[in-house]
Amino acid sequence: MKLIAFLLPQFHVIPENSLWWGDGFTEWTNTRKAVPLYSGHQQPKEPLEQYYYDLTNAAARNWQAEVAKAYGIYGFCYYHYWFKGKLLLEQPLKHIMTSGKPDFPFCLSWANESWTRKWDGGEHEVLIRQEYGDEQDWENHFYELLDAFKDKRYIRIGNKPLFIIYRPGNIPRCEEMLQFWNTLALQNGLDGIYFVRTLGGFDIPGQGGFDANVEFEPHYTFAHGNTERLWNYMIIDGQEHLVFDYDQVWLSILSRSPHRNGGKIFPGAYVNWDNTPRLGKRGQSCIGASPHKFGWYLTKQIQRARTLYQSEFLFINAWNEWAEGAFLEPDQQHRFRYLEEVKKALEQTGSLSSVHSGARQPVFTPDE
Amino acid sequence: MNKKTKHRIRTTGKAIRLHPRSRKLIAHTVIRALKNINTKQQNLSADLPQPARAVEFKKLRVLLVSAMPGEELWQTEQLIADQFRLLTKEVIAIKAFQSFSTALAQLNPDLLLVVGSDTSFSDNDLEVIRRANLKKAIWLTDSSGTSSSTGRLTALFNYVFTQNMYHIPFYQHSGSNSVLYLPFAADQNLFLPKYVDEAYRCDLLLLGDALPTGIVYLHELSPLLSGCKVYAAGQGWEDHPGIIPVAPGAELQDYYNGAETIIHWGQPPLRAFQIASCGAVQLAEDHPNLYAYMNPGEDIITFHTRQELSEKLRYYRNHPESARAVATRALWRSTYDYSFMQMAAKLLHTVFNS
Repeated sequence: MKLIAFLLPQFHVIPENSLWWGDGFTEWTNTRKAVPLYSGHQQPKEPLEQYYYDLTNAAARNWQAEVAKAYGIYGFCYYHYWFKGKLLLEQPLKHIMTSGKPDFPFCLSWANESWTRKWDGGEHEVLIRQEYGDEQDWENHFYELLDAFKDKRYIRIGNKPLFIIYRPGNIPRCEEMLQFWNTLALQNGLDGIYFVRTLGGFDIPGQGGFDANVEFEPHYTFAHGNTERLWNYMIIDGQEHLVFDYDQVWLSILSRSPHRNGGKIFPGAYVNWDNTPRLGKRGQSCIGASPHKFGWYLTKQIQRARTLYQSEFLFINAWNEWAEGAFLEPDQQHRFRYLEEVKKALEQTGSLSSVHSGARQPVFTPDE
Repeated sequence: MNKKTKHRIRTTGKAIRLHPRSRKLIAHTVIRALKNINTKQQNLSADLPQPARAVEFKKLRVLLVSAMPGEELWQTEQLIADQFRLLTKEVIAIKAFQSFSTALAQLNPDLLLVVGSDTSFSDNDLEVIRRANLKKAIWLTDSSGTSSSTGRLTALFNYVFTQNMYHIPFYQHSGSNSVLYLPFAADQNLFLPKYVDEAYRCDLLLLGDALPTGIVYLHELSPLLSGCKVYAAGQGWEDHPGIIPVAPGAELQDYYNGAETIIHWGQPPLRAFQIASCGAVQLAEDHPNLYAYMNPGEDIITFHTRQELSEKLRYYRNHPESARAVATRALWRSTYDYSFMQMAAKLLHTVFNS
């Protein structure tokens, strides 16, 4: 079983974020300012030994890969941002490409949403709008990614680089674009692109051209999990704050039918969810998460992935979404407990030996 | 053939044919008699006490609020929710988060069932529960003890379910009219018969603290323990020769499965259920709690004194088929008599149909 964790590159300063959110903004800015909203609400989430890394620093990127490898994570799925020729948060991947380090499998997910002040990918208070071009833009986009697709570390299925699109339903002429890319891929020495549609927290129209679907949790369950009873609210200083039950979402994930129009599905898993660092009371938080529970549920989902979905991949949200409470990276409260549960789940399902042979023991201190 | 012969009663053959007038007369008589009987029965049944119409559980909506202490019982919480899902129309399961009681107004359930203890309720939540006009039950996690705050909490509920019989008078004194002993069952996903490694295998597993009673039992049993591998899970066993202490906090299901015989004392009934669910042979110190759901002598072996313990251990060692039969009955009853399904059904029956 190959566990792939989504990785957010927003841990370095870019001019656009500084302009929109203030000088020196990174994801840590949100993380640090979080406060507990209610009894038992664990905020702020602090990285172990206050390691507020910068992903333009090679040591941080290498440390992430070393730790992930040590606990059995197979690879990272870096978010990729392309706004009709405009790239954002691309520096970490560029460094990975040019340096050849870390030597760790990776793939990309095109997070094709507008950036908004509400962090919701919506159409209000837009900071940068997600726009789409035609053939010329498709070609430019493809060639922007070609080096990555050809990289020996890039994750492939059937010798096709695995490329995830977050919201294909928003892309006009999507199927034509995928065909166009496949043609370009063949012209450039690849066997094609393995396109994966994200099953997330939004409408999912029927579109051709995809080889598989990936469950993006907990959003997929929020939107499509028949969980009308999931949400509750608590009153905090006269304001409603939405909460949901950790176990109920996992119950919904683990009870889901494997059938979806005959399509191939890569099952998903989620670590936790709490986006109050970004939105305060207007956000949502999860009640009842713990490393032990995560390990229990992940074990079951790995078993389902293997037997029910015949999938060699399982995608975890996330490696480092600190401002959404979804992270495997070690923190002050649980240290390496979530990662230890990942390793235990792999061991219990007989999946560990097939992941990274000879991985080093867990490390913390990055090589500066 | 004349008419008389046609309607003559024939005495030969299988059929007896009557004159039409006779048939008519008999039919009228029978119908009149039946009418009288029915009338009398109706009148008679009207005089008898009528059972209340049973509530159909599959039409009920349950708000299940977990106030489980710590994380130890999280799987129990999920199991309980699952059993109620099987029995009722809908279960909305939430944690006892701050101002959770808003869900009462949101969901308008038929039953509020709180599972756990009194650790995390705000005054406002307690007040909402107190005022709520619906059936309210609490299934306490009070096997190891109770407190005055738990007593005050139980007074808010119509029905109180406790893990320990000894607590019933206390909750009644605190103001609860309906208090019932209803222990948690074993989690059969965790506690089930299975083959275990040598590391978990032993001749005898002692469950309980060394002091004050463990040492007494051990001393009594010592003539029987020569050459035996003995594990002990509990406090104070570190310095006893011949005893291998089980690491504190270790999950015990593998030890249960690896033990030829288990002796336990001073334990909540859940432990007896868990051992039964593994199909292990157990000798338990007698306790009133054991009698409500188990049948000592049939599905569990009990002892009152150290001498009785010694005698029974010797007996069952010499009669392995008897010991195995007891363990087998316990294993069977774990599924069909004292599982979570039965406990949940009993709770609903108590609340709605008793």
